[in-house]
Amino acid sequence: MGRRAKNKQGDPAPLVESNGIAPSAPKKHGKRKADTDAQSKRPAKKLKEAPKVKADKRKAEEPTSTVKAKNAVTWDDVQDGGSGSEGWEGIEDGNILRAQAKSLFDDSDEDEAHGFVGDLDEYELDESDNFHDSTMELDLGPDEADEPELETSKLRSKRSKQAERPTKIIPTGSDASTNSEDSEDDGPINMENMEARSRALDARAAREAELDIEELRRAAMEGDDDEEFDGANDMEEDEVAEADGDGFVLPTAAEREAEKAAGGPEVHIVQQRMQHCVRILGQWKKRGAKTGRKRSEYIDQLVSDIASYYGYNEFLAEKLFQLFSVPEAIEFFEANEVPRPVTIRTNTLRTRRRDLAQALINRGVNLEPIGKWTNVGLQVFESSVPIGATPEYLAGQYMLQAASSFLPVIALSPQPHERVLDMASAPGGKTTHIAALLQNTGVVFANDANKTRVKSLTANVHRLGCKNVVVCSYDGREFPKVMGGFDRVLLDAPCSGTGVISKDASVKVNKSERDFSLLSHLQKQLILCAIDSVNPNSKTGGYVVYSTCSVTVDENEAVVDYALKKRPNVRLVDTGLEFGREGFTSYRGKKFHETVRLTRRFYPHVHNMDGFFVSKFKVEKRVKHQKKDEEEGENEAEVATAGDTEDVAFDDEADKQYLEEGKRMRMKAKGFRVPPKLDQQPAATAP
Amino acid sequence: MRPLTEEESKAVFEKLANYIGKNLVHLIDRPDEPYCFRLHKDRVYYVSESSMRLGVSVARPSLISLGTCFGKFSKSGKFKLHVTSLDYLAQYAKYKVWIKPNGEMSFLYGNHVLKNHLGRITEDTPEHQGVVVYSMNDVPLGFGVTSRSTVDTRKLDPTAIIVFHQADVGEYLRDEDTLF
Amino acid sequence: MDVSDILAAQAEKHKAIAVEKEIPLDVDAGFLAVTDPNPIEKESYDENVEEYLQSTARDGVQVLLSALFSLPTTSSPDGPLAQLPPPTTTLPRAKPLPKPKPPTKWEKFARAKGIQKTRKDKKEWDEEKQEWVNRWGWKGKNKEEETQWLSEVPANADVDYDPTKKARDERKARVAKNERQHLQNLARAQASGAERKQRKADIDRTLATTRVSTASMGKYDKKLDGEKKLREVKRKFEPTEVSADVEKKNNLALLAKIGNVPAKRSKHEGNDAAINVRKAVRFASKGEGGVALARRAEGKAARGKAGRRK
Repeated sequence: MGRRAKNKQGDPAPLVESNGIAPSAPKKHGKRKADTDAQSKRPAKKLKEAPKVKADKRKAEEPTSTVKAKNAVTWDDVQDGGSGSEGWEGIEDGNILRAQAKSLFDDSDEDEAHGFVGDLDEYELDESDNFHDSTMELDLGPDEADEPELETSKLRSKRSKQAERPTKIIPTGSDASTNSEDSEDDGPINMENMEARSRALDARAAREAELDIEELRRAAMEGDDDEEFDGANDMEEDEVAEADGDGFVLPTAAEREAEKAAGGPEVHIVQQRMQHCVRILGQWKKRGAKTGRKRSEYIDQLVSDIASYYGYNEFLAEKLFQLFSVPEAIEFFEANEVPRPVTIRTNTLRTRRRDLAQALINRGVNLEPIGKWTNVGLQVFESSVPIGATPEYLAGQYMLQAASSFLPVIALSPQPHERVLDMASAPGGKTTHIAALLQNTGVVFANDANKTRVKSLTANVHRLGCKNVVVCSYDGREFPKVMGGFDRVLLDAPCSGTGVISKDASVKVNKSERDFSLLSHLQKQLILCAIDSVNPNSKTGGYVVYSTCSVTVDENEAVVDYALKKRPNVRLVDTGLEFGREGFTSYRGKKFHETVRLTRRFYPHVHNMDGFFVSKFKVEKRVKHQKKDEEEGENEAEVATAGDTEDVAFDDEADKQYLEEGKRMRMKAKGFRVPPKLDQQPAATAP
Repeated sequence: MRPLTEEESKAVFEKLANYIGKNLVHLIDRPDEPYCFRLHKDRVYYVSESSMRLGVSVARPSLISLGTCFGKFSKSGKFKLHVTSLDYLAQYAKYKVWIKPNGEMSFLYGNHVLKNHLGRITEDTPEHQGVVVYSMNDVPLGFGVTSRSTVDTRKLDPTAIIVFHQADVGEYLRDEDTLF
Repeated sequence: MDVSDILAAQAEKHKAIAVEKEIPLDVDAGFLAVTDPNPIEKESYDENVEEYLQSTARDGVQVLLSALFSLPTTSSPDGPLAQLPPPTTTLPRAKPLPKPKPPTKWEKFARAKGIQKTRKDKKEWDEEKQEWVNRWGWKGKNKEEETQWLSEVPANADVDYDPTKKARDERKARVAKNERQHLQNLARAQASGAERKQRKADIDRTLATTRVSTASMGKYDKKLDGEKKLREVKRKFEPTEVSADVEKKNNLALLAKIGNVPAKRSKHEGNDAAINVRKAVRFASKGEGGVALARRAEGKAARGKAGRRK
């Protein structure tokens, strides 16, 4: 999207840190010590420096505010009771994390805590210097040792990052306070930090409500305090604030038609309008009443603006918009415009991460471990050589692989000597990961329906030296017939790709409602096949992992829920991933099974990895009892209506005849020889 | 998928013996798990017996590969080693050649190894002997055939070819379509 | 006048052409062959074999030549040519006698019933003409009815009844029946032998060979209607799942076999032994080679001896 260029971050590669985790990174001991000192002194200093920071804010561009100052500011805000400081800090929730690594390097980052577009270049320079250093000193040690110290600096980096993006659309006071609280919450370990984040986000709705109430109270007391504050921050912001108070008028349906007929509104108008909509929707209780319009009108306008501004089709824009709260949705769309970090996975069959990192650093590649949650991932910031053609790559020492695709394999956690099936495996990132975890024991069946993609799968399997892999090319739905009895099955289902829009922007326009229904139908078939392929008697396994790179509910929770209903012998279990948001248990009127909360969702704007969904099933032995057969009969109806049948009573006696008949028909359709109708005991029926 | 006939086995073994000599016995007689050679769509796979027995369930048109592909038979019945066999060749190689970092990329683009790229070479390598090519930090990059014996190489000029290129890991990128 | 000399000379002369033997020689001028059935005279034979054989041969040739000169001659540009009579000596047969034909159906029946074979003459006595006429063939007796100028027509005959045609048709039907029976007999004779099968196989093989004996291996040749597809050689492979032990054993056996073949491995055979002899020699001789090492060893030994002597 060319017109979005000015909104993009200066250089995606260096920004990309995170995945929510502390890059265990360049250790500059002296600096870190300084940081910790600062941290420990913070409470004292903050009081002192608070006034100064306010001054900074007014000047907006002054690059002298220090780390401590910033902390102080946020602290201050919180103390104020989240008084709706519409400061920039609150906005880029997702971007917060990106700054972490940067803050590790240099205080100069902090200098521009409140800097804007103009500062980006300088920023990059700093950055590259730091990376240069890091190539020399990178210590890829046990990856854990330094965490406690790191987190302090991370706090600061978060703050600094928030100021970075100039044209953001959703400044809300509540966000700012949430963030500051977040930073206060930060645990001593990154992982926990991650969780804390997600918890905090989940809790946001509640907090917002609280804040709204508070605001109302404050509004009554202090009147236009908000506007003043905004004005102090920034001229543009000031305008916005004023406009949203009185100047902005939502176009009526007729006006929108006319606008469309005239070839669509101009970009900056759309942008402004989105800001207004977000602002008003964010504080609907307070401001919505004044406008005299319906909330749904605002939402319609916002969705259509999003569609035109980011280049989605209306259907997809609405579908994605509904997944999130209003401000978060904007963050999500923004995050889709920015590429995700380049990550590689060490092939533990061939080398160790430390050795690989050293070898790549010698080639002029700038990298760091991804995070604590994986001990094989490396994140590449910049490279003087093509990362996909180094001798190390060709020798199979690593695999270019998105961070998100580590997750399903980690969830699957295959054990040596197991028989594992990867149902849709091309291009082989996950398959080779599984083979590496099996340490070339047992057997991995790598299946992919697409014959051309199978070639690259085979090449990768051989390049990475996986010797226990059988590559085959079936439609995944044939699977229990071809072969069953697997200890674990990974189903990374074909999906709409709404989680990887940053990688493949064509998704924005080429997906229609029909595509989604077809895909979810296919996914439902596949997941049943996957479950049926598992050996429930397996001593070590009996697990199915279902994942997609999509964020929509009907490809994820709905499919999981369907599987739970169709197969009474499976249950959801914890994925073993310590971060990620819980899956929806209810969505737009649909209720899913309680345990669906055990699934995990990953978002580009929160975790800085591709949008992803992971769920893990445990397949248990089928218990045969009368009830089950009846249930299956019911399920058909149940699934169709997605209704709740708990309280509807069935007359077993009256239904028996029909059930028998239905069972006969089913068996006949499957090709069994059916006993004659008069026979009341069909062979398959257990008492 | 089927076992190799005697002639086929002979062709494969002779090729392998050129690189790993008597160590070939270790491929056939493994202490950990029985392994076997199987022919599928003209390609020879070296696969553990347990994998093979499971792979039998996969229909012939759907089976793409199993275990490690060692190479393929041409229509005229000659056997050609593929770079995918490098793992095992490197493990059991008798004669090795190490090339300097400045020669790595040249070799990975499919060129022969020149004398000025030569880092080290196993002592007493005869001429026309199969050798495995390593980078200086012991990463196997491919294999080839020596043009001269170790002693004779001393007299050659720096641009002379020392090892004739047979296969290199760059083929994973260059020949992905034809390799499998 | 003494003519004894003249007589002696005459006798001498005569002797040259006259051959007197106890049993006269058999001459077969047709084969230009002479057979001497006289027993060998042991005395003269023992005395000088060579001379004896020569005189016998001379006599034989003399008799033959005399016979030739007595033959009638024709003149030719190259001189007179004698006309050889047909040979009288019977030579043995080069090939075995033909196998007896298998009996026809009638012959079998006749033998079973004890019917004697009677030979019919070609000619037959015609009472009316009072002469011998052919039984069949030209003006054959069997065509008599057809050639009548007047024939009896049965009372209930059709309008278009033609006695001549009827008779001819009957005759032709008999001929056809005989021919059919003849063919059946032939076929029966053929079928009984295994060579028939052999022949068929040979033909099939030849046909198959010719079908693929073109530059394109028969790929672009015109196909005839109903031509069968050539059956390819069915190769037989071992089952995919053989016991690992068996397979290992086979492979190791094969490996041993390959190892025995003195391939290029002979070049560096030293390397397979526990000690690399070449390398060891080079090391011991400090790169100068085995000869130098030997020389040095000799020198040392000599010096050692010398020292001891001191």
